[in-house]
Amino acid sequence: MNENSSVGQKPAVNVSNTERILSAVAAGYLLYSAATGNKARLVKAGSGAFLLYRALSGNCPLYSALGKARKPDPVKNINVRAVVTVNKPKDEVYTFWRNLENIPLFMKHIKSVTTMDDGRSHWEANIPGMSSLLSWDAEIVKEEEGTLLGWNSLPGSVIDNAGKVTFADAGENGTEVSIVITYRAPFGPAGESIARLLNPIFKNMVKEDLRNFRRYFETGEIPTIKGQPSGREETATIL
Amino acid sequence: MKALCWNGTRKLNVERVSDPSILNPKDAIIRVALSSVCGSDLHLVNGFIPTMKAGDIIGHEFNGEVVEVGSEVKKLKKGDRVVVGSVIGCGECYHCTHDEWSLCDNSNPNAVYQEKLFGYPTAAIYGYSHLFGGYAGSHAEYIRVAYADNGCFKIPDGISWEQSLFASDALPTGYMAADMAVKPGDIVAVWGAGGVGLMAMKSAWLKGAARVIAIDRFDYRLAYAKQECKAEIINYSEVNVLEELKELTGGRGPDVCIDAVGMEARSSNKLEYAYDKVKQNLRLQPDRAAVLRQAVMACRKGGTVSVVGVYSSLVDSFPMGILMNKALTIKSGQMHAQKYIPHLLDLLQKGELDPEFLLTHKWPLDAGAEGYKMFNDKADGCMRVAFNPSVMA
Ligand SMILES: NC(=O)c1ccc[n+]([C@@H]2O[C@H](COP(=O)([O-])OP(=O)(O)OC[C@H]3O[C@@H](n4cnc5c(N)ncnc54)[C@H](O)[C@@H]3O)[C@@H](O)[C@H]2O)c1
Ligand SMILES: [Zn+2]
Ligand SMILES: [Zn+2]
Repeated sequence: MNENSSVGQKPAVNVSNTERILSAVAAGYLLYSAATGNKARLVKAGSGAFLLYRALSGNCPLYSALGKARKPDPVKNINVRAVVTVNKPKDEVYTFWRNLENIPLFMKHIKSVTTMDDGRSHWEANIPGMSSLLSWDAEIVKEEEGTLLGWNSLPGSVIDNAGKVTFADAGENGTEVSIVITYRAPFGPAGESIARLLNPIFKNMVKEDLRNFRRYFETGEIPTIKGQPSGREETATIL
Repeated sequence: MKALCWNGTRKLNVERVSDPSILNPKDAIIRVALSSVCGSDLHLVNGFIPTMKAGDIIGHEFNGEVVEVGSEVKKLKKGDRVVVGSVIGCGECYHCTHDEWSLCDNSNPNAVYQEKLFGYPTAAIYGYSHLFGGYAGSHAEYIRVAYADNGCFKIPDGISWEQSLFASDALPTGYMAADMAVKPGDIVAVWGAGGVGLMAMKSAWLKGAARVIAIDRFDYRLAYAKQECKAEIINYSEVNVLEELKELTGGRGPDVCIDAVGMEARSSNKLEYAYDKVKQNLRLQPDRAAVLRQAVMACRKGGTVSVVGVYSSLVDSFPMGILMNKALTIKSGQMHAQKYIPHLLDLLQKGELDPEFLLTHKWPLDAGAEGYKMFNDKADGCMRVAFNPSVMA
């Protein structure tokens, strides 16, 4: 999208495509976590709405206020790290991760991963608050059997990302699985606030995904209370 | 189905809600035979446990019949009579495989919130707030049991619903209180002659205690301690507990002090009680620690304080200096149901334990709110009231 001119009453687009998507993703998470009952509900819902506006309109009032007419230049990395110990032997854990198509089993926002013959993979994510699927291609760029997997998104991906998962023997505790994900997104000075908002959100998401990995890999299921009865049901009646 | 819902502090209603269904492959649905009140519920009912939501179904001490099993349930089938542990353990994580079931890594769907408060999340518990997973409780006609192969224990032939009920919660909790601390020859003092305390007294004997001393203020409860549990008794509203314990133990103090009271302890010292109660009501401190303080003071040098009474977060004026200088050990925890239940059912079958005397009242679920009021007020000689949502043979 290269709309630099405004159409009708629409505000001018001064946010890059990648940023729009990032904003939408962040907005989705903020609205989602606000809706699912988090403490800083109002603040989050406010930021969520703001980011969503920014994503949908392509116009950042913050940039405008700061007199920034065009997209910011410097590239900033967001690093997200998380670690979990899983009560299974290292080789089993590695083999499970190496089959990327297993990932949607425990990462709740990844809808599908399709591996292709050339070692590349196609990813589709379902982000709460966004109506359409987000998709990108990636390839494994580093592999140490049983110990490390590293990937890179391919040029043209909506979100540039790279990362690695390492597997370390933790004795009778099982295996330590550590993940580092780097998102490369262009962030200017005004984008700092978004970076600050995004980081804890992605971090929590990745931490929860890893927790779900352990739950799934150890027990074959992810615990839930969604769908159980309560007096909060619409049809519930006091007797 | 009918279910007893928490709708606010001291506000319980029987409601008609939908039946539970299998949500995960390891789930089972149990038709509830008996479901008991527990001292832990009083902390919820009285509003001292955060993250309850209006409409939550409470209750966690229960037994019943298996009516449906998920695709990955291997050991249970329709029609099995089972008693279910109140604490939910996945059976596969590090802690479950090390028999520390109440520390399960996986069972709590709300681990993320609990982790923020506790550093690391613990196991979920049925009907016991969203911090502890938010699972619907057992005061209902049916309940969904997660990781059913691990949580459900078949009731041996010849053992009735009434006899097996307390193997769900009160008995394993009392047993764990003793198991964590008591060595043969120990003098054991137990604060609280409720279901948990009385089971701790019986278990202390099983672990080889030389003497067992019960502390409470209700004569009818102390009478159970004396008759059913062969304990010496102290009424804390009549005598000075510390002096009395010193006297009874040759001036040494009990080797093991068990707290089976928890965060709603009364204090015989009116000032201390008023101080704790006001602070708790103003939410300046969530938990009243009168028993904990007394136990630390009373305990023999080098002895063990075993805490199964529930605390939710902070206590005020904990005597750390006494604990440290007297070189005391603290043992504690929500109970590891799945570790103890098989052994306890075995003892039940052999006739070496019989907790049925705790069942002083068996009422229909419709009387849920009245039942809790009676249990809270310790009225009508109530030890525990169990509801029978579906009358079963
Ligand atoms: N750790 C676990 O897994 C677990 C499981 C079940 C219950 N519990 C806890 O155990 C405790 C007891 O449960 P219960 O069902 O027996 O409750 P209960 O209400 O039947 O009994 C509590 C008893 O403590 C007595 N008490 C109050 N203040 C006292 C004091 N200062 N000194 C001596 N006694 C005092 C009361 O008079 C009462 O008889 C509760 O805190 C409950 O939450 C823990
Ligand atoms: Zn209980
Ligand atoms: Zn577990």
